[in-house]
Amino acid sequence: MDRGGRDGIEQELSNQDPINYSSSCISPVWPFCSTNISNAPTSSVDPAHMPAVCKENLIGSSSCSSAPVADPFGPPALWDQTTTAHTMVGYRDITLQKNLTNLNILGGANIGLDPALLRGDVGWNPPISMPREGIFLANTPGMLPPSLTQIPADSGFIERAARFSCFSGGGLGDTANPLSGADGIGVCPRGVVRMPISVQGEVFPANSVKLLPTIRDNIHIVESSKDAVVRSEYIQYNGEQTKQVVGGSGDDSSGPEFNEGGDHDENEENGLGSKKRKRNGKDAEFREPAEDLKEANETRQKLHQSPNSASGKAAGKNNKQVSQASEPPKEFIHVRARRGQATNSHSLAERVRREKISERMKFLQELVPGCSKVTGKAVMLDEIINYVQSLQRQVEFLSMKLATVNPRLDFNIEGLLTKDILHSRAGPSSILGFFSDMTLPYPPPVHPSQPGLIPAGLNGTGIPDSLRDNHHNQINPVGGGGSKGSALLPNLWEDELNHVVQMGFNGADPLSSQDTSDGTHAKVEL
Amino acid sequence: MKTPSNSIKRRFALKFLRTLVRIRKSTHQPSPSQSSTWEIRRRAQRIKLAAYSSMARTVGSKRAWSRALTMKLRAAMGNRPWSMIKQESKKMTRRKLIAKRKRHMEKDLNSGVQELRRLVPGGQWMDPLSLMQETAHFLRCLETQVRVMRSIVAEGEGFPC
Repeated sequence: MDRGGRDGIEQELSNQDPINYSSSCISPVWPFCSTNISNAPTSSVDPAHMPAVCKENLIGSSSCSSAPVADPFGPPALWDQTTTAHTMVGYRDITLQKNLTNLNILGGANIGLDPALLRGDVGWNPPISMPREGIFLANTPGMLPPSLTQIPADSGFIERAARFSCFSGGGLGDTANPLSGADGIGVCPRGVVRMPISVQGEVFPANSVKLLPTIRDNIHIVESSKDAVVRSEYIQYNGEQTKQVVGGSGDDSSGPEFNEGGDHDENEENGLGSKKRKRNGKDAEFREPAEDLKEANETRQKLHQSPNSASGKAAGKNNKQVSQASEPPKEFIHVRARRGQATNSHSLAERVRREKISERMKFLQELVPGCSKVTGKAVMLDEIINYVQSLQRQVEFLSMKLATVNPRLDFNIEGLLTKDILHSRAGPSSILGFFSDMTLPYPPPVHPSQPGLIPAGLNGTGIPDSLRDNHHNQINPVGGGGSKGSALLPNLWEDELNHVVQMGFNGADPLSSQDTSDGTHAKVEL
Repeated sequence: MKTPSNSIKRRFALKFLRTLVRIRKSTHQPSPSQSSTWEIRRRAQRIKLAAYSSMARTVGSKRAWSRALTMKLRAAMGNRPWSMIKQESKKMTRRKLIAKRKRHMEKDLNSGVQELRRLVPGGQWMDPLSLMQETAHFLRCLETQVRVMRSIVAEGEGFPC
């Protein structure tokens, strides 16, 4: 169901009017830009990056608005490259800066920007309208929103919008969130990072939801950026924090759907790895975020809720690996490879899947009575199947009973009936009474003890008469009705015993509402 | 995971009772005690369908199994045969749907989930993960159904014949 839904959505997406995203694109981008600009002088981050990023955002938003012009979402591959480009942006801060400074130049921005960012990318058609935006950018970043809407977008813009949306994610929720220098080192493109980690969860989902609500493939852009952000922060402060932060961000991200990123980002891992090495010659301050980003991308598997100390090692191991595209899981949670376990994206996804299934099995175990001791998936499944079958049989039996009882029932008191049903006073008792009527394994403990206890229970308490009469009354119409009636008679004793036993279990006076005799019986037994 | 609450019980009880009244009125016999076995069986069948349909309606379209159940019931009630595939085809193409089902069937050969698929309405098209979820919800709803029905019968039994 989920897959179907997703596929459908993705198909829709390709046909959807991208204008829908324009408004969403602009809004997230905008606050970020303003924040950037306001904080630029104060932050210790390289100021050049701020305007650069801001411009990028603006461009992105403008591309959003101009989406209709092109068909941005046609090829999913576009997004792949987008992510690559986006990840590379982090690495290429220097080049980005250079390129962005070129934005003010007509057309120069595009040319300067694209090759550096999109090396090897295919989808980045130099937007024709870029120059216009460059001008806008140069002039009045503050006035962009109105002008942005006028700018026809291009596929490249849309990609950039998607890309830089993650950058602006930080600015979404927290306009006041300063791009303080503490976390600004080398992370400027990920302005988002600056946000306190606790906010990340909110912001990113908001960001991704606003920008690309249905482009699941692209959400991993946010993911990767977030990861990189988080990672870079750790490395700055403490390696220990890595787990916590990652765990936190993983928890935060577990809510919204994040693409595991296995598909697209990891496809780019090869390129990334090579690029990383190339970058080693560049600024040292970018190495860490780059490394983080790479780790984030590679490990991109879901963050395990309880990251081990070896998570760092696993991440390190992952650095070597180039994970292939794996089937994205249903819920996009971040998982980390555990120590000693395969870090292949396939196995990680498999593990997550298995864990989910086992979690669901546990939940089912609670539902099914008497299955707390049972362990093992197969046995559990059998139990569940048996229980469902028994319930269905009960429904059938009860409907048969109702068919016979129906004419006798006076539905003028339907209100009373409803009240009773809702109060479930009669519920348990009737359940008990009829429990043995069906060939049920439930409750299992009761059945085996029945034969021996029945005579004792019945004789000792002296109940039987009223109860028997009651049951006879119950059985008679059914007996007249069909074959099931005859089957009921032998179960009479079991019936009563079940009444007795179950009432003891329930500890309530379930029958008191129904019948005085039954009520007394219940009291006596209890 | 969502589980039905009291509200579901309430709604189901109301719907079911109303259906029961309707059935009773429609098949009212002058001398109920002389109803033939066949008639009683037929009535029981209708009541069973009423129970399932009222449960499915109570749950609404929120759950995959309720949707599948609705489709199945429509077919059982005698309407033109409603293919499950038709219902699911809204989400994906028919071919994909069939392929998906085939995939599930092949995958589940050893895990024993096949049986569960058969039991839970609409289980054939679900992946194992969501199948578990649907099973849990379906189970809860079944329990509610059984409980309500039992209390109804018990209420009926409370009146001496």
